[in-house]
Amino acid sequence: MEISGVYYSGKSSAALSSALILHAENRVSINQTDIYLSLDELDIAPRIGNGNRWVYFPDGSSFESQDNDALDTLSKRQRNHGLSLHLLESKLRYIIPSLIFTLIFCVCFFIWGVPASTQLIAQTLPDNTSKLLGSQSLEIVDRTLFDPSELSDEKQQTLQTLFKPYLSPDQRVLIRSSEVLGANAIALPNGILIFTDELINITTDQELLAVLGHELGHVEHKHGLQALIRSSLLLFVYTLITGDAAGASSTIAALPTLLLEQGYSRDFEREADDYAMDFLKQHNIPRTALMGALNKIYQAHEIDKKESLRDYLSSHPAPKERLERLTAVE
Amino acid sequence: MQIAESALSNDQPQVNSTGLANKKTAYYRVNFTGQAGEYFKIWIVNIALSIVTLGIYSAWAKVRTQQYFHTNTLINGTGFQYHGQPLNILKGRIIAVVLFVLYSFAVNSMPIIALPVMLIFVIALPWIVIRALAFNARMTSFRGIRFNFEASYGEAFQIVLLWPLLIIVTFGLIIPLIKHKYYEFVINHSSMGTTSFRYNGKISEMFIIYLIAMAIAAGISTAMMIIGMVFALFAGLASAADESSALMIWLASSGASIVIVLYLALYLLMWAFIKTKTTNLIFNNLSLDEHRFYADLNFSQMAIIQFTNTLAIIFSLGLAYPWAAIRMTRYQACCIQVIVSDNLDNIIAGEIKKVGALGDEAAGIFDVELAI
Repeated sequence: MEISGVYYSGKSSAALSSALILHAENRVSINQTDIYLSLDELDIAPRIGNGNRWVYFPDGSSFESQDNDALDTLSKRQRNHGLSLHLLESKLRYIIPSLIFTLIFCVCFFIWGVPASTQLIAQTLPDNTSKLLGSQSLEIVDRTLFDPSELSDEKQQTLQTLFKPYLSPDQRVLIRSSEVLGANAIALPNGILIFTDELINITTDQELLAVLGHELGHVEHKHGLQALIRSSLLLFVYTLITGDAAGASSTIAALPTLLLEQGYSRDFEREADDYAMDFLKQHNIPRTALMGALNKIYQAHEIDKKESLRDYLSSHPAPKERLERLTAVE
Repeated sequence: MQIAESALSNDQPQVNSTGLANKKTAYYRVNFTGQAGEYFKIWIVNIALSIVTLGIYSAWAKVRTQQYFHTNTLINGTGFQYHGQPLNILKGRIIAVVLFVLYSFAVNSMPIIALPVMLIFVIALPWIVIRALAFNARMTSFRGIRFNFEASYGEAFQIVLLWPLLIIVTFGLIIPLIKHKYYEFVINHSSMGTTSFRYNGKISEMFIIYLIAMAIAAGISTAMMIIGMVFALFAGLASAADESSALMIWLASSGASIVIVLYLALYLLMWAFIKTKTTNLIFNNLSLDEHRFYADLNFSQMAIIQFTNTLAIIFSLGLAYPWAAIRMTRYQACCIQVIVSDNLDNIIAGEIKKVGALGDEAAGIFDVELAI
């Protein structure tokens, strides 16, 4: 067998048009060179697509050929030829199952795998983690989002008495004012709940308790911790899939990741709403209070804070859908 | 300038005689022969096997991908070779992932130790950059001769840490200077065998590129602001008329999405402009001994390709990625020419040094900017 190609000595870049010849007893030689050795000493690079293919010799020289089929035959004659990845990469009977498998895997992974695994990790991490996270994040949000409350001490005291019976010993309600958030309440991972003056000013006591139920839902389901784990997980998976991708651009990465994050965030809101409804039922508070609170919050944001509405729409379920869902529970 | 198309079958490129040193100059266009269909098959098998093996196969996947792009990039019919070994890369990957997990966990659970860990990482960064550049260079060869990269920690420290520190102080005005220094650093420390690459680009040219890019950005930002204001105005009018108006919500949300789309378009245009102009600048000032290079990438072509690629990838849920990658690589390759003085036969091999894959992988995991 004779395979035409180009020989490179490995010592200089000079090219020598030559041919690789297979002799009896599996001896191999290269025309116009001293190369004469056993076939098993050759390192034949695995085939990839139909590109040029290389044969490496022990002395550092190499031979480049376009004759992939001949090199395949040569490779098969070697004593320990490995599994051919090219076979997997060229036959439709391997490609189509790979494609279907990958698609199904990705869909399942994003719908069930991500929420389930973040939930699992969040539940298995020691409670300590949530506490440490919370103490750090309180400092941050106090610095960036909140100002001290402008409500009277009396009013604040009344509110604390209102909330007290519903809180477990390690949970605490703080009252702050916030221009950025407007009428809103947030939950930190360590059980600290922050209500804004703007929210308190427009809601009744029952509605405040409904909001409390919603925020307690976030704490109980460890949503803050889950969000953190989820973003690390998505980054990790993204690195895994595209790690070998030459020339990927980050515009492409940013968009789906953003959409995914918002999607998961909406699931959290629904979960917290469900928790709030159970909470209200358990404490014999009319469940319409939650809808009342939501309606007032939506109104407050439409009138005062057009900027924050945008964020609100994306990370939370659409108002209409959310209210309809609650009516259905009712 | 006379330009010759080099085809695989054509061993006799068009040759110009310079007459001066009695040496002939030949122009070879870089030829990329990768096919979207062929790469798609490799890509999908890579992903499927990576999933099935819980990520272990990703090291093999990386080697297959690199080999595919290397062997299909031809100069005068000879392809590049990629020599990375999957097991080395796997080892590097495992170490990098362990470091990354430890780092995220430490920072998440004990914010106090974030600072010292960050400090250690910052000190190691120049070393990681050197290792990554060296690994990529030494795993690549052309005509049987390996590329190489060697630099001292001190030099890398300046490029990676010292100069970037000045970005904030100078309000970003120093970025072109940093880019210039970076390319100078990478290219002047790279070699093919014993022959060094040289970069002769001027700082002023890099400054001009960024100046124009900034002008484009300023123009689009203004447009974005005006559109945002118009929508806010209409939304305000709508809400004044009817407090819970659906029109108002629609205006506010569609205004927001228009701004996001414009922001992405701006990012894409900036990327295409800077990529086009710096690639041209680099290749037009690059030399290897007596051999020179010439690149004439076109900004609008690059922007159109990148734009349609992005759309195709989004609407195919990622499945168009191989097609997009091949298309982009093919366009860039065919815009680059090698101007060979006499012939390419006289490059002498250097001593082959071993380099672990750790730097390369650690750099990838921690998202270090290494792209040329």
